[in-house]
Amino acid sequence: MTHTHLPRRAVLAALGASLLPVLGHSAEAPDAWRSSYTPYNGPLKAPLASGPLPVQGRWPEALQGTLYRVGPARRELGGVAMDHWFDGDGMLQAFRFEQGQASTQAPPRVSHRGALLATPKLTAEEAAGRLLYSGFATTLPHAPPLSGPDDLNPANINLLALPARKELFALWEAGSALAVDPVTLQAQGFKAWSPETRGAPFSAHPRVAPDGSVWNFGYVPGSGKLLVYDIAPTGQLRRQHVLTTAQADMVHDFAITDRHLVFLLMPLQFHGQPGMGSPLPHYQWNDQAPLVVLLVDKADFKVQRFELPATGLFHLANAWEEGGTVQVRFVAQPDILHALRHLKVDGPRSTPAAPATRWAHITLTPATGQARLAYPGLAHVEFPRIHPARNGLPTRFTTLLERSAGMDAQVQGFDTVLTLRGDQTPQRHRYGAGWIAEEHVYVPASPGAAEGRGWVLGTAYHWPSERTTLSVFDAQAVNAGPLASVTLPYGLPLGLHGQFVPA
Amino acid sequence: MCFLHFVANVSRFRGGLGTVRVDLGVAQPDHPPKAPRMKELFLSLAALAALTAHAADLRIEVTVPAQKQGAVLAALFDRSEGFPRGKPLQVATAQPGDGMAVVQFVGLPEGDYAVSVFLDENSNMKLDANVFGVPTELYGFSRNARSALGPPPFADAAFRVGADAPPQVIELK
Repeated sequence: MTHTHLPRRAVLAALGASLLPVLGHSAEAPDAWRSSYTPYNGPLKAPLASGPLPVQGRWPEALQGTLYRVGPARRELGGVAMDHWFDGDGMLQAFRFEQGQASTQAPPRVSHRGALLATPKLTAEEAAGRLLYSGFATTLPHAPPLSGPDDLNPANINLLALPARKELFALWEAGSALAVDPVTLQAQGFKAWSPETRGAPFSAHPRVAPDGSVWNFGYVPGSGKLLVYDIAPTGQLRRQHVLTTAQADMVHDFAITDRHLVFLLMPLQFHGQPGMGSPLPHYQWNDQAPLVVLLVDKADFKVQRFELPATGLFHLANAWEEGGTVQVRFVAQPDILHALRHLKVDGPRSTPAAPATRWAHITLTPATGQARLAYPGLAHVEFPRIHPARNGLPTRFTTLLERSAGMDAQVQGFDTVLTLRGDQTPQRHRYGAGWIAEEHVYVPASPGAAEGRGWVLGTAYHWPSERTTLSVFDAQAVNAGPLASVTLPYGLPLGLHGQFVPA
Repeated sequence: MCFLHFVANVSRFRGGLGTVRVDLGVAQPDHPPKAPRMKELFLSLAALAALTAHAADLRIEVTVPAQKQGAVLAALFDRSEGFPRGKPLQVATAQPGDGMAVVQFVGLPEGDYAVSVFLDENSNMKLDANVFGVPTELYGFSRNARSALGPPPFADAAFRVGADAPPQVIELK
C-alpha cells in the first residue's frame, strides 16, 4: 500500500478509531486482554500467514531478519477455560522483514506467520476435545496423571535462537526446551541436552554470552536445587552442575558476567505438594528473609552469597564486572505475589493496585562481601532488554515498557516504550489510549555498531479494534514515534517475550 | 515473565543427584541368584507341592511404543511394604516384539500382587532419571495405576491372582 512517511498521529488514528465502524466490533476496557485470546480459543485453527503487509512509513532497509515472539494463546477448549495470563498454549509469531528486489527498487517486504505450538499437551487436549491439564494458576479436576513436567509444557514464555545452527527453541520455565522449525514454525519435540537433564527444567531466560556460549539454569520448587547448563556455541552441553541453595522456589531469570553467574533469590517460598494441580496457591512470602544474591564462579561453580533488603522480581536486564565490583540491573516487583495472583485476562475491576515496579541497581563487592541495592527513581517499568551481544558486558542502553499515568485503570499492562540511555534523559513513546504495548527489543544496526545505534522493535495490541501493530523506531529517537509500522489484519494474543534473528 | 513449576514429585521419586538413580523397584535384586542349597531346595519343593493345588500363573502384557528399543523389566510384589522400591518378590524380563512384551510369573500362590515395569532403553538394568529425579525411561504399573508424579500406592496397583486370572495389560508411558 503506502510507503510514504505518514505522521505518527495520522498512523495511529488510521489504526485506531477510524477502523472501528468498519470492523463493527469493539472490546470494552475490562475485556481488553481477553479479546486478544478469544480468536484462538476452541479447536485448533489453521496457522496464520498474512502474506506481504502494507507498511505505514518507511521500513528501514537494513533491518532484515525475523522477529519471533511467543506467548500463551489458547486458553479455552471444550468448555474448560483458564484465565491467568501464563496459562495458555504457546503460540509462536514470526514477523519477517525481507529486502525487496534490487532490480525494481522495491521496498522491504514485511509479513507475519503465527502458529500454536503442537506440544504433547496441546496434542492430547486436542484429541480429548477439552483442556485436560492444570496450569500455573488454575487447577483442573480429573487431570490425567503425569509422567513428567513436560506433559504440561505449553512452551509459552520465551524463545532461544541459535541462528548459526538454524535452531529455535520455545521455552517454558518448568520443563524442557521445545525445538521449533524456524521457517515452518512446526514443533519438533523436546530437547535433551544430556541424559541427566532430559525432561529437567530449562528456564525461559537463557543468556547468550558474546562468544556464543549459552548459559541457563533450571529449578524445581521445593527441591533446593539450581541446575546450571553451560552450552558451547556448537549447541553441545559442556557442563551441567547442581547448586544446592535455599530460597530457589521461584527463579524466573538470572544474569551472567565475564566471570560469574548472578542469581537473585527472592524470599517467595513454595509450601505445596508438587505435582498436584496449580502451584500458585502454595507460594508464601517470607517477611523475615532477605533477597539473596548468589555470585557463582563460571570456572568452578564456587558460590559467594550476599544479602539485600527483600524484594521480588521477574527480570534482570544485565550484569557486568566493573572496577572490582559486579553491577546488576533489574526490575524490582515489590509485591510479586500480588502481581502473580492478579495477572488475569479479565480487567482488574476491584483489585487493589500493586505497588509500583522499580528499576534497580545492585553493586556487589566480592572482596569485602558488601552488597548495595539502589533505586534510581524510575518506576512502573518492566520487560528490560539490552544489546543482544552484550550479555555480561557493561551496558548503558536498555529498552523497557512503562505504564503511563494515563492508562485506563481497567486495563493491566503497559502503554509506553522507554529507552534508558546512560545518564541521558530517558526517551518515551506512548502508544496512546486503547493500546497495550508488548515487549520491545533492541536490534543493533550492525554487529559492530555502537551500543544504542539501530532500532527498537515491538508489537502493541489495540483493543478497541482488536488488531496488533508492529512498530520500528530509531533507537536514538524513540520519542519521535515509529519510523514505520505494520498493522495485521487480525489481533494476536498478548504475549511475553521475543527474539530478533538477523537475516 | 512467568514461572510455572509443575513440579516433579521429587521426594517420592528419590532421585539421586550424583548417581542419578531412581528405583521403582524394578531394578536387579540386590544379589544375583545363588544356586539353591539342598535344604532350601527341599523346602521349596515341599512348599511348591503344598501349594500346587492353588498355584497360578501370571501373564503380563506390556505395550511398548513402536519406535522404542530395549528390554522390559518387571518386578512382582505381594505386599505394600517395599513397593515399589524395595526388594521385589520376583523379577522378570522380556524383549518386546510387535509393540508388546510378555512377562510371565509362574506358580504363584493365590493372593494380591502388584507389578512395576519399565523399558530399559540403555540396558543398564535401572530406571534412569534426570537430576531432579524424574524418570527418563518409560514405566508403568499393574492396573495402569498412576499418581501425579510418583509411584502409586500398592493398593492402586494390586490385583488378585488365582486360577484363570486374566492377563494384566500395562501401558508403558
